[in-house]
Amino acid sequence: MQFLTLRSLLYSLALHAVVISALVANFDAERTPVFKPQPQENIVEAVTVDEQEVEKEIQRLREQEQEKQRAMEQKLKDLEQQASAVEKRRKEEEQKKQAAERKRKEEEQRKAQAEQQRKEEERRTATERRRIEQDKLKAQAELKRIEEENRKAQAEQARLEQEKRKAEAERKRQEEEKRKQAEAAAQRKQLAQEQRAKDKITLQNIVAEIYQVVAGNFNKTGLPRGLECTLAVQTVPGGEVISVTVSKTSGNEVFDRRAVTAVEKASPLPLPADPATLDRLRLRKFNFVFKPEE
Amino acid sequence: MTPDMSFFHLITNASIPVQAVMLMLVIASVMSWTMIFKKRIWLNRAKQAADSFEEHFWSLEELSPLYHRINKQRQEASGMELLFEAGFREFVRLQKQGGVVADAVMEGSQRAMRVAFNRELEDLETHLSFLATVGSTSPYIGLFGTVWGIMNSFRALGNVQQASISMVAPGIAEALVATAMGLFAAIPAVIAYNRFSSDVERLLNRYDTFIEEFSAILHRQAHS
Repeated sequence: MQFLTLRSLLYSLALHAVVISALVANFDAERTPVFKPQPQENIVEAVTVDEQEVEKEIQRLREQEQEKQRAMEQKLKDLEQQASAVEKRRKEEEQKKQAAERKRKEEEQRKAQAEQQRKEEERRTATERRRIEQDKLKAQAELKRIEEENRKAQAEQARLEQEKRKAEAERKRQEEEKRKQAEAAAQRKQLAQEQRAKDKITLQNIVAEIYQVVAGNFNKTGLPRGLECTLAVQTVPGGEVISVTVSKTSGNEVFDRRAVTAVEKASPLPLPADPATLDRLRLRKFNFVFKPEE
Repeated sequence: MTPDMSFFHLITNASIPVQAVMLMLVIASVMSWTMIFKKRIWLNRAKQAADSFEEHFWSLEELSPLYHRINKQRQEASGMELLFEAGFREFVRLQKQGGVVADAVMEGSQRAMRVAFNRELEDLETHLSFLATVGSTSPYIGLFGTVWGIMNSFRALGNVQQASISMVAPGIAEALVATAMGLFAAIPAVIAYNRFSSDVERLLNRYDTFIEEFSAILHRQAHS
């Protein structure tokens, strides 16, 4: 910052020094314009004159003048003669020129005819040449067309082959797919069978468990033995019983009522928690045959 | 008797008040030229710095390397660099603090940039008022010297019996030197003042634009 100021100050001082010295020099050079008188020269020359000599001189001059005029007139006449001769010559010249002009025109006419003929000839040859060229072009085009057709035919053939190959590939692919599908179906079938078998066991287990729970809650005091009824049970995932109804009575009303109560008491039933399994085993709504053991 | 009319003689023959006026004007002229050179150099530097910084700024993808580079510089940041540094520092600090809403972060960084901008404005406008003062008062000071000189020469004229133009002329010439000096000091100062104030204005506009652009970038970062 300090450095910048100093530098600027130096620039400023240098500028002032230059400008002021220039101004002063100019000022001093211009000052005191001095007025200097210039010496002048205007001397008069005087001459004396004699009267008679003047008269003589005038006479002489007049004679000279007359002589000159005469000579001039003579010259004028000569010139006129010359002019008429020149005029005559000019006329002759003109006639000659006219003749030459006529000749030139004829010549030109002839030339024009020749030119026309030449042009006609040229036109004919040009048309001929054009025709030949056109023929040539046509032949070339034809050749090209044929080649093009050949090329097209080859391309068509190639395309057909390509398509054939593609169709073959497609057919193979489809077969493969079919085979795979069949395999998958077989596998699925097997799996389903296995699943069904498994489910059967699970279902048996569940039914046994349910039976046990319900039997535990069943009050059999004072009821005859050997009775059995079918109950329609509706559940939700988790085993909670929503409703229990008698779908096939045992004939004994008390037995039926107590069986319903036992199922309600047994809620939640020991059912699988997974809703998918519940659906698969059809346990959302099932018939339950209740037959207490002896 | 022919009076000596050289420039030097005119000045040394002048009366004391006129000489004082001339001295004042010479000093004013030297100082104003000093300011002109200084300001010119400085403004050029600022403009170049802004150009290069902007170019650098827009060619970068990440801002933090630039910030570290500026922080590591030996000399103090100025111009756009200062604005950028202030805004970015505040932004980073507020973000690190955590728990500050994005809008509050933005507001803080903008405030920091505004403060830096005001400082920059102050720096740019120093000395401009001096040039304005020189430009507007120098002619009057010179005129005062002239009037004083002419007054004196007329007073001297009143004391003699046979007045002639050659008696007043040196006095008036002397006096007019003061006006010439006043104009000599004033004209460059006025031109420079106008020039520099428009330059400063343009530079400040650029800074303003940069603040807006940079705020937009920070806004995007704050809300991402």
